[in-house]
Amino acid sequence: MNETAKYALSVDAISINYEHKKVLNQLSLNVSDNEILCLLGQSGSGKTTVLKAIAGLLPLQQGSISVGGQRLSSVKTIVPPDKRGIGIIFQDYALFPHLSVLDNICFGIKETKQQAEFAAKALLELVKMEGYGSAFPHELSGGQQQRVAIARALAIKPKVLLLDEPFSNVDHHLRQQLMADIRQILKQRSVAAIFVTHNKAEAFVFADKLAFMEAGKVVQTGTAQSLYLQPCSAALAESMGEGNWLNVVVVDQYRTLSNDLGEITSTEPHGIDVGQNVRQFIRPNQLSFAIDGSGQGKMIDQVFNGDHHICTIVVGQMILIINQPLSQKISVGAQVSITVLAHTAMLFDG
Amino acid sequence: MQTMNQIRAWVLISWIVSLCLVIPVIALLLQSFATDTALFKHLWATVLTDYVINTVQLVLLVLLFAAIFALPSAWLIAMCEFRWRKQFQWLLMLPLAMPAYVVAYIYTDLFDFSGPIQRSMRALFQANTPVGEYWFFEIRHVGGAALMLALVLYPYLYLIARTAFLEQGANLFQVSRTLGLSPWQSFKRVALPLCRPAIVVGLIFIGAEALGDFATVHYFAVNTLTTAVYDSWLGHGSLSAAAKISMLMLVSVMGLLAIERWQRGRQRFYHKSSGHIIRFKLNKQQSMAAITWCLFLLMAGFIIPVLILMDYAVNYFSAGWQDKLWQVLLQSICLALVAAVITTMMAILFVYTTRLSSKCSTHIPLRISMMSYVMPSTVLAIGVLISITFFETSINDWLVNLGYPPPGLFLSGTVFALIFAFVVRFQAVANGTIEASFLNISPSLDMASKTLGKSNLQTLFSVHIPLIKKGIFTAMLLVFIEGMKELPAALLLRPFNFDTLATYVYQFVSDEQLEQAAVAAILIVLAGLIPVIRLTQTGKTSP
Repeated sequence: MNETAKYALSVDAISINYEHKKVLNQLSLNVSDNEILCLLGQSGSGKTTVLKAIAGLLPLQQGSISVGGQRLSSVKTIVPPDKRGIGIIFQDYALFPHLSVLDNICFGIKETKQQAEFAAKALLELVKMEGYGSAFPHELSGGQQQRVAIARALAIKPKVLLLDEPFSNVDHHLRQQLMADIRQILKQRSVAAIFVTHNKAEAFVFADKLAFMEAGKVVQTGTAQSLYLQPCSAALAESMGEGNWLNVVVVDQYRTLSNDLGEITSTEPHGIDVGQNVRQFIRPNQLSFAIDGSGQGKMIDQVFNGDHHICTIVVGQMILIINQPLSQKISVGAQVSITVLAHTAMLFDG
Repeated sequence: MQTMNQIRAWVLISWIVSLCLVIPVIALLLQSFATDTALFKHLWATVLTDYVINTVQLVLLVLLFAAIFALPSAWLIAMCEFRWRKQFQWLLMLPLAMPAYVVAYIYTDLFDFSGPIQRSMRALFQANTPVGEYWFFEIRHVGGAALMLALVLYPYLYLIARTAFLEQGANLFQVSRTLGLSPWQSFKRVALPLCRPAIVVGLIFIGAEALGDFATVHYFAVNTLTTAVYDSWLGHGSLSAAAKISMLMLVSVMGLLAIERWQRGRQRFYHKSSGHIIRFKLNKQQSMAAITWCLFLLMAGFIIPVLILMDYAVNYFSAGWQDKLWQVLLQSICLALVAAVITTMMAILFVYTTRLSSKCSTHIPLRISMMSYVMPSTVLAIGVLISITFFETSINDWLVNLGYPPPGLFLSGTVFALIFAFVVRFQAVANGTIEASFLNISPSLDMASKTLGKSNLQTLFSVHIPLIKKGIFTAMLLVFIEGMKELPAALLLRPFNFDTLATYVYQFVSDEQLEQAAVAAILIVLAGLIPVIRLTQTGKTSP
């Protein structure tokens, strides 16, 4: 109990089966007060199931869920969703189509009608939707519906807010602004939140902490930077961003050897036995190249990407993707030599 | 330019055909303003008030009973998990196959003074209870008629409400729970209001059916507006009185529809279904209650009547198989088949026209032809009668003026009137099915076909019709079966000495001899079972 009391939300080794399939397998995660945690993972990894379990919409086969130190779900008992004080926002927002915006927000407020409307109007202002109270959900754009859904969820003053792919139905150009706004609202209201996405860009912008799910389990939790630079699995490495895979042999605690790129040195010890054959992941910005008539690589393609060029370089049998600063003037067809920049090695089995 | 003209031709034909379908309504409207009102005045002064009261009572009671039967079972089946739920899901549809007048006959036989129930009660309590000295509910009454109608009509509401509950998805309900509402509160404030439009549509449909029912109320000697229509026309030969009363019925249905629309206002109820439904697991007692309830409906609306019909059929086997039955069966099949082919072809015309252009005017014919959906068939039959008689007299007058001999009743004395009425009545059924099939065909297929040099007509025959074969079959089947069952219009419009299966059975019912026609009644029930099974199969693909 003392352990869980430190956190706004504590999920302890929960398992959930659905039609004899294990959807969640001893999954654990903690969210501190006022923290926004992003649950990242490929589709089908069980992200939405975690949210439903936390909201009390699904029974547990194993483990427990506590909010503010109070146990809400266990194998034996489950506090019903209406007694938990946890807000949830679905991917489709699930606004009640038969109620106006104001009535949607008032829906969960257990005060007199006058007080409820007063509170709802304040929330409308908070989400910058003043003047839309009498509109119906179908008359609003996706981004506006999203804001109403947030206001409705906040209206019950939830201890924890759950958001299921909240930005996937919003136009790209609105998304940045909306994420910034909602992040600010959550911080202002000191609400702990979990949000689910498969889009890493959203995770980077919106979350304080990331948790990556694979096969019904959280495999790594940490800051965006730590997941990007020190991923614990190949799947995580790839879903955090592009990179190049090299087959290497471990030389010592710091160095590996690649056939085409030669020796690569890590800034931290990698902890893998000497002599092992492993796969090394190197991000496009961890490599650089320069014109070199006798260099081992040849540039075959160059794509402009705003703040840099993405270059494709052939080295022997291998194709590498390397970012090139715009200031560097090298064009397609040039013979180049490749340098590995200082970084912590990402090594994986198989 | 070429294509624009082509499209115009399609739209024009659609408009003309769909306008033919509204002729009965227009005729009814015009006729109801006609001055010949001696009979109507007389009716108005004497019995019409009672008839109106009876009708209102009947319709309200049918709606009440149907809602009591349908809504709890729809919610149980859609949202709860209990034993045999999956079987009940389709079993509860079976009563739809029973004609109400047959059920009425059977239960009267069962519960009447001379029926087995009261007889055994008297036997049980010995002779100290003389005739009329004990209380027993009177089945030959407005309430009894309403109960009989509701027993076989509730599946419409059940089906529509169950679908509506399922289509809400789970998210809205779950959000309501996380916002602090209990399951019951969430049902009351979210699930039920969201289903309201569906429920109202179901109720209006059932109400129209009850309003147009002749056989059951006539059998129970309950006088309603529908029986007044029959009396005015068949008894007194007054079309204008019949038209006035029919108009009264039509206006009240339209009024209800309008009130519903107006009340809805700007609200929308459609929510794209999302979220996997997690059904409430009922505990043992709750499961028992749910099963008992579903079983009661199934027994009362289907199993008991069918068993008794089968008993009749066995006991009166030789009487059941008369030569006349074969002739009647054949006539019914031909009639229903012709109606099925015509409505389906027209449905294809209407729906295909809507694909040719997104302009509003191309969609109106389809919508117009759907109108008959809520039109009581007695009302429709009167409309058909008026329009055909008008047409005939005009032709006759014209030919006489030209010096030719008048051709007489060349339409109203024939099956043409019946086919016309059936087509108008069942057009909505065909339209619905065909429209649904067309929706599955991507519009880019149309464009591909046209860019490859096919005309609209060629595209229809080489692309669409092969793709919607199944839908065409379903549409024809559904109309065919409705045609086999249809009674009120057939009673009013059939040519002299011409019987359909339904009128044949009804004749025996009103002569208190259903036993003799039990085989024919079973044939109607069997025909009615086909679409029910069909609905079940399409229902299986939904969660």
